[in-house]
Amino acid sequence: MVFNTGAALLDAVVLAVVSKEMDGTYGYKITQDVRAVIEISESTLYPVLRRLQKDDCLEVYDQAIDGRNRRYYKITQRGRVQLNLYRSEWGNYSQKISRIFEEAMV
Amino acid sequence: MRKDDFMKELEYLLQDIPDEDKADAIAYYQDYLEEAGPEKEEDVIREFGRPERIAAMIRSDLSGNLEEGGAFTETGYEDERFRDPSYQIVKRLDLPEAQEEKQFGTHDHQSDFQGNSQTGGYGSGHGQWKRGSSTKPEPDTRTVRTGKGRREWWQIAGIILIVCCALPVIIPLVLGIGGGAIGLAVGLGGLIIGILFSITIALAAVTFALLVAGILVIVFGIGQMANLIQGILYIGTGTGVIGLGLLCLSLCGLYYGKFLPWLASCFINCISRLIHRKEASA
Repeated sequence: MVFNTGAALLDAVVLAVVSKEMDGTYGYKITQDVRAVIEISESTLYPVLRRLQKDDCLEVYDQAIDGRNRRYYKITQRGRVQLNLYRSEWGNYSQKISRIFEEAMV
Repeated sequence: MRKDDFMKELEYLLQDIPDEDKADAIAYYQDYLEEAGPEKEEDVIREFGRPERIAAMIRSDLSGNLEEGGAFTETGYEDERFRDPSYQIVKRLDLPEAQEEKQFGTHDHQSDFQGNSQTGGYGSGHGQWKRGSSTKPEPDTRTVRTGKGRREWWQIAGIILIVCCALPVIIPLVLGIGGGAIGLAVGLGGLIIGILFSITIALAAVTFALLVAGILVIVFGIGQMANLIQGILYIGTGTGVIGLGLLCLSLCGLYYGKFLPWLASCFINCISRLIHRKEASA
């Protein structure tokens, strides 16, 4: 991808992906879902998820699957507030960028 | 690098961080690889890069630079990271090692990234990673924990496959070595029995010959008593020969009376022990 993904945008995408699952979702699936949209490496999300968890944007719980624990991530109320902020900011930002491209002489 | 090796090394590299953080990180990556499944495992590990890189990422997270969340300001809920749109987490987490691999493809991104890390106020975090990646321990001083390694089904399947493939080689080899050993044992046994048999015959023959010869020489000596000195010489020689014969006779006594019965009892004991052992194990 030509454009880099900033930390905030990555946080926003992760929050959006997690928010779609009411019962929560797990690290591997989150990574694959995010990778479907933006280029990130397989290892990128651990620090991001952990930070969002420490910021109380995400909460975790463990569930036994196939004889082992799978850690599920679920969005919190605070996470939704944050996601909402990101969403409106992104709306403004992308709108402006789109407008300037539309006005550009190609 | 295989999953177990990767996890072992990562665990080793994280041994100095708090237990809770370490367990959390290990669980995440372990879980991730298991979720990826055996087919994708190798690709995922290749994309992870070296365990040192992952360990450095986890460390940087703990060092505090990444944990600064947002704060409420007069303009609403704001995140410091939000104000710095040039702050690039994706590229920032690519350590020098990973960058080298991509050097030709993403040259522009790389220079971009370096500029940001110097100006973006997160330089100390960047330095942290560098330190983390440069203090990787020497491989030969490592103590690899072996107790925790779980064998996965494909490893077991692999071992079974190897054993199956090796069977056509192992069986003839074992049979050959066994056959050779049995042949050698039989040969040695035959040799020993042969020697014993010839000793048995020869000892009796020599004893008999010495005694008979001694008596004959004495009788011959008595016949020669006309010449006194010659007669005495023959009688003396005969006596000596009979003495030797008697010595052999006593040896015969030992050999036939003690040694052969002892040998026979040893042999019988051995056989009975073998039979009993077979019975016990059967």
